[in-house]
Amino acid sequence: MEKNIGKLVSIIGPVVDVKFETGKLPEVYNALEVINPYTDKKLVLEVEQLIGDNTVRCVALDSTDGLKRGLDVIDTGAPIKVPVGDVTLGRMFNLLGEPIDERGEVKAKEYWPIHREPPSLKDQSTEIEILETGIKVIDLLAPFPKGGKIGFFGGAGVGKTVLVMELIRNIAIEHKGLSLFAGVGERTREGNDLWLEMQESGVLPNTALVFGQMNEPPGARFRIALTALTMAEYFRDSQKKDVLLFIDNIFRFVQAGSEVSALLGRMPSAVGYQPTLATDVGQLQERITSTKDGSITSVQAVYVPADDITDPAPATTFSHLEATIVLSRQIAELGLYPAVDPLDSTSKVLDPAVLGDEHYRVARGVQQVLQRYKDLQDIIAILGIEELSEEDKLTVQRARKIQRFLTQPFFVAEKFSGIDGQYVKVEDTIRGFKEILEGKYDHIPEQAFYMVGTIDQVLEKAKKMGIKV
Amino acid sequence: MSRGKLRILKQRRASTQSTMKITKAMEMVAAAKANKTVKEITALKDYAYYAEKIMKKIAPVKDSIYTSNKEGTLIVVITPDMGLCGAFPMEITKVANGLANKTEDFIGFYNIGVKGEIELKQTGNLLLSRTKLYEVPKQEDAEYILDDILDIIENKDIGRVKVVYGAFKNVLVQKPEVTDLLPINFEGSTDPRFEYEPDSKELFEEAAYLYLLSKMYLIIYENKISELYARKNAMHNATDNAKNLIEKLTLAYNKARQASITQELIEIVNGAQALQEE
Repeated sequence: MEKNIGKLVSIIGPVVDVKFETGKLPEVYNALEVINPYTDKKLVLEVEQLIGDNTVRCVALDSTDGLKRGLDVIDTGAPIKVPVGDVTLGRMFNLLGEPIDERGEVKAKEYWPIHREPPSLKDQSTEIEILETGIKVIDLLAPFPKGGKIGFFGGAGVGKTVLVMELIRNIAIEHKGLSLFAGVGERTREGNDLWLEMQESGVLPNTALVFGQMNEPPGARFRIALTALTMAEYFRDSQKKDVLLFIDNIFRFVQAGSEVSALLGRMPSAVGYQPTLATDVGQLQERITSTKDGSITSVQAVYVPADDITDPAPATTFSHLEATIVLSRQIAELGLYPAVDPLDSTSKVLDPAVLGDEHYRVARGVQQVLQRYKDLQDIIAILGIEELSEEDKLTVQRARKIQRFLTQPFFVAEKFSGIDGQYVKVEDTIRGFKEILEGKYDHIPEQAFYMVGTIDQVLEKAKKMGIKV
Repeated sequence: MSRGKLRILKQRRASTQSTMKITKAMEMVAAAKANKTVKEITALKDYAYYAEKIMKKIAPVKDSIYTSNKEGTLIVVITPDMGLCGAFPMEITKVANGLANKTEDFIGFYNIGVKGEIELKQTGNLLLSRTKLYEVPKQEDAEYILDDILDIIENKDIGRVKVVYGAFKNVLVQKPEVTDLLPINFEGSTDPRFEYEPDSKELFEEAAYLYLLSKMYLIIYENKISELYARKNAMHNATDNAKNLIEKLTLAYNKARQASITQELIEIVNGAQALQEE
């Protein structure tokens, strides 16, 4: 077939206009290729808009430095395709599916386009099963559904990435499944750390990593999540397997979309985001689902700009998720890590029909005590703790113990904290909180509950402090 | 946008403000009451002083319940009926508990006041508790309490009574203090020139009762004054705390408000400009 060749007519940053012959316009989302004369490398453009006059407006997926008007642009006739299948495991890719780990070429049998339709309603799975994470606060208050979408919301520096890393360690390493990691617009160093750590722990052969970090142009950061998702979809649809998909950070996807949108000349909407925000997020999130064949369990970090959770980016993401873990600055300031807000974090599976009565009751009991403590805080600040009734005083004491018992030392933080990481089984978590609520440990000082695993370790710590258990 | 945040801040500020109104009013009421009560204590002190002086002159009788010094100590704890006076009631019960632990022949507490009842009930050693006896103590109330004490020591066949109460040092300091009520341990006068009519025991017991009554009255009165000043101070601190909190909340509220205004302005200006360019 004869190649469909167009001419480059304008370049504004990462936005490039290309003119084709009449009747030969490429379709939206098609990949176009152009050889950058400055670097002699192939540059891929993605068609975003048809702007009339036989011209298409494209977003460049790499730097446009060196391009000039009049260059030949080849229409590949299809969207970007990335390698899928077992060959992707153990490797690291960029957005185009090219290996970036310097371990030779990837020869895949199949290449899939990164733009695909979400699974239809009748194919979607309806089973609910709980995925144990080994992190007390999550397992108790916002349990993860297997095959569900989970979001970690938090402002800058409250520990989102650490929590995602810990989950990768706990789920990918302890459960030994297939996993995919998408680094979207975050620090390149973090990707490097993860790569080295996975090599060390031996999970790399079961993992594929895809990176489009901060250094990449907006087009690349906008599409990188789709690349990882496409690779995950292959395992789900063709191999009928269960896959874990980690995305850090989904907000950067929205942010990149907003940059692209502005460059394409769309009128900005609320808070300067793209007018197509809900569509962008929806198209990505709808594809991350579990079907009857296999499942994709995704864990997404969501940056919250200026700690304002009502910002359109996190607010739009909220509605797509099954479980939301909210990380709070106030809690991080108290030195309580992971800084999960026990009252704002929820899960759709926090339901007695799924978890059983005991788990549900303990979780709600914990929230009740913490809520009461929060309500009393103003009174304590004004009148002092002496003015509380006996019952409230006890509630406050228990709430403080619960707050401390919700902390946990992490494996990935061992180097910094010097405390060995702890994996706590769900049963142990429930037992511990249940006994605190029952008042079994009213005599143990709250320091004993800080940064430990199970309730037995609390008692051990208390013994070391010289308290009779 | 951040309307929810604004509303929550506004609500918190309003509720803190109404709390502050109450604490401020209570501070003023407590101060007024304290001033009134403290004036009357001078006369009481004089009376108690002379009662003690007379008591010291009377020859003690050995076989009276006032002097028996039988094994077994009753601890009388005087606490306020109402809260909102800071750590004052807790300090009293703390001292009482400490004293009970130190006293080897301790047999139980006799408590006056709501605040003490709650705390002392937990120890399981509360023999008797009277609450809401008085607003401002009168002589009858002291008599009522004294009769209770005498009943208990008679029933339990003991001879020692200690009282824990909030002593009034000055306007700013109120400290729990322990004082011995029984046995009465004065040397007494053995001057043979005195003759007692009808007999020395009857006279001694009558006088001892009056002496104890004056002492008890003074104690509960002083406790009341301490309570009022403790309340005044606690409410003063609470008002200050509330003021600080309101300041903080106001700042947070104004910041959030300004942020949303700025945000909206930027959006409108940008939108208008974008339309102009088209």
